[in-house]
Amino acid sequence: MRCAAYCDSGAGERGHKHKGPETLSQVLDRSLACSLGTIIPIWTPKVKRQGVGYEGKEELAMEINFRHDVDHVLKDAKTQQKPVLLDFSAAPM
Amino acid sequence: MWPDERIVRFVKENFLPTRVHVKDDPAAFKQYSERYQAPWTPTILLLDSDGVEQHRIEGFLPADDLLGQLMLGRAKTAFQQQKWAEAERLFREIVEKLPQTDAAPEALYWAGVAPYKATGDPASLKATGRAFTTRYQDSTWAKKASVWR
Repeated sequence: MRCAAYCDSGAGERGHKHKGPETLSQVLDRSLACSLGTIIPIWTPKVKRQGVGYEGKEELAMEINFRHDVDHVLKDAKTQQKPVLLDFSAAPM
Repeated sequence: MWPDERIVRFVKENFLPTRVHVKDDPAAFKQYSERYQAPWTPTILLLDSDGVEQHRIEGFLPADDLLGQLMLGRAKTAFQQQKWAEAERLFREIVEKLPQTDAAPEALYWAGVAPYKATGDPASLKATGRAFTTRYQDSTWAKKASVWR
């Protein structure tokens, strides 16, 4: 079974193999959990991945600090002249 | 956990990220989903610095496709700002780096439009129409560009 995305199994990159096939329930759980690629850690044990350097140049935390004060973000965007990514999500936080 | 370092980096470099969660803050979700007419999750809106929607991504996408759509949103924002040269460069970057994604044929189309908007010279449209005869022939964007040949 090849993993459709990165997961928390610690097994490595997308496309790595898992031992057993997913059940339909697991597939549905994973699909529902996905928002911006967030994946439920189905394949335990959970091993925290270290930040991997993009192109090997530097360490990069694999997370984004989403703000939740949308109107303040919009004000900041205007001030900084920077676009906004607004994510409507139902993924587990 | 984010699925792909490229996406993390791209978002951090290009956007102010904000999230409204349907269960954690239902009131906020209702407020903003109504404001932006986004009742479904996941939905990602890319807004320009004035808060105007430039691109919308609905439903889950694999990492490459999500990155392609995010790049498309960035390029569309430049296009909307009439930064034609930058927009063309950003559209062509999608075609070069993520040629297998659904974003690529759309990017190829707009990469042809941007220089036309800058100069009024239809040569770029004609070249784009011809380019679609050799790749992405089955895409909607090839049909749209077919009148330029």
